[in-house]
Amino acid sequence: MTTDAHTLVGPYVLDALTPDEQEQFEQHLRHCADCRADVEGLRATAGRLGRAAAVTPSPDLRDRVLQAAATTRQVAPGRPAERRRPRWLAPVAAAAAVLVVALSGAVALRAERRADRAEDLQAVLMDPAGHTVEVTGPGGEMRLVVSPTEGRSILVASGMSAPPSGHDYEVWFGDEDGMEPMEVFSPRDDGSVELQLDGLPPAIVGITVEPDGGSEQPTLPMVASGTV
Amino acid sequence: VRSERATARSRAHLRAVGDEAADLEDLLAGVARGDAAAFAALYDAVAPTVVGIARRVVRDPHQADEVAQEVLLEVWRLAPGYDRSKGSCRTWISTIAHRRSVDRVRSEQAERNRRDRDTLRVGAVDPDPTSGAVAEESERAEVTAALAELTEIQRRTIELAYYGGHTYQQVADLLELPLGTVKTRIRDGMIRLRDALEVTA
Repeated sequence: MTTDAHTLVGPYVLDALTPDEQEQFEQHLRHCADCRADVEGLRATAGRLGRAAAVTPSPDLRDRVLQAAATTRQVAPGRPAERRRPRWLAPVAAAAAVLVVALSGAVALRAERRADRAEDLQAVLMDPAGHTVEVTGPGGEMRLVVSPTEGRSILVASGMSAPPSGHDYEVWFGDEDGMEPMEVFSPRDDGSVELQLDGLPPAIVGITVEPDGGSEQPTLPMVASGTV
Repeated sequence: VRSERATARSRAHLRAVGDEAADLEDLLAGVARGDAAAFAALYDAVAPTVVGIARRVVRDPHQADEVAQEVLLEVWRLAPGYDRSKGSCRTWISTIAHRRSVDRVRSEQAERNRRDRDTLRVGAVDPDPTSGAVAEESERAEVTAALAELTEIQRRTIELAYYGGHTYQQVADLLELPLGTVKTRIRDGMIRLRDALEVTA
């Protein structure tokens, strides 16, 4: 689709492709440096079109946004921010939600709000080469859904208790030689967890309790662990 | 062919843009460290654009503000993962704003209604511009001038896709043009715009 794909760069930077085409084009982008360079420049141009539409925001929006930020956790540094494609595709979200519930028991997915994540979840959950690792211990019973095709994993749990005050949970991947920090997290208010991780565990997956914000080295003992 | 004056204006604009871009990168670095004051300052700099994009694409002011709020919160949430090698802070934020706005209109299947109601409303001139912000004024003037230099089809396809939030197939339907034509006109038009605006990512 080389010739065809190159011409899609215009509609792509204007978000004017259907989801299928967008996916195809993004696959093409991984292999085509020319198109990546075009996308970078033309995205900036599209951004100029956006800025030309600037309006004065409603006065109360500022307070709402700043207040919401004060209670919203940020992602861990170093994660690619644009990896996740925001999509509110209700049918896909619903399908993914069913799968997650089937796998984990009772994870409540807020489908409308988090359908972008659900779409990513679905890719992991539907991977024919995928498998599930039980992650258990005093911290609770979790499952790690591993997708070799996607190169990603998802930690799912329900009924997990909140970490002690001033602490977070942290996920680690590793083997006998050492553990790599993956992500710091806390369960939702209802005790559910559904956490995407970039990567696959080589041999061991572990959960620890760490001081707020996480640590570079795991604080033992693990509150839950599993072997691939 | 662009006039000398337009070029001079563009150069002056570029210098100002360069300074502002560096400031925004600093603010975003502060936001990435969880600095609430930096986020408030970043909000003041980019909220007019975010809200403007959402209003243009989503149309309904209430829904547009909802989308804008989600986008700005997303900026806060994702700031630690922002990769400046992939584009400027402004580009990053307006990309999120546009995608979220488009997602909103497509998911609500309001497509048909909006198309019936607003097909011809998509113009280069903003109906509700910012008041008093000099930077935004000069930006608007420059983009409007650059759009005016495109062919009619290039301009209309780009406006319908970007401001209208339509897919290029829908643009082809609306303008009764072949798909291939719309695809290439959008690309050619965007390249001309890029060159006219001397955009650096």
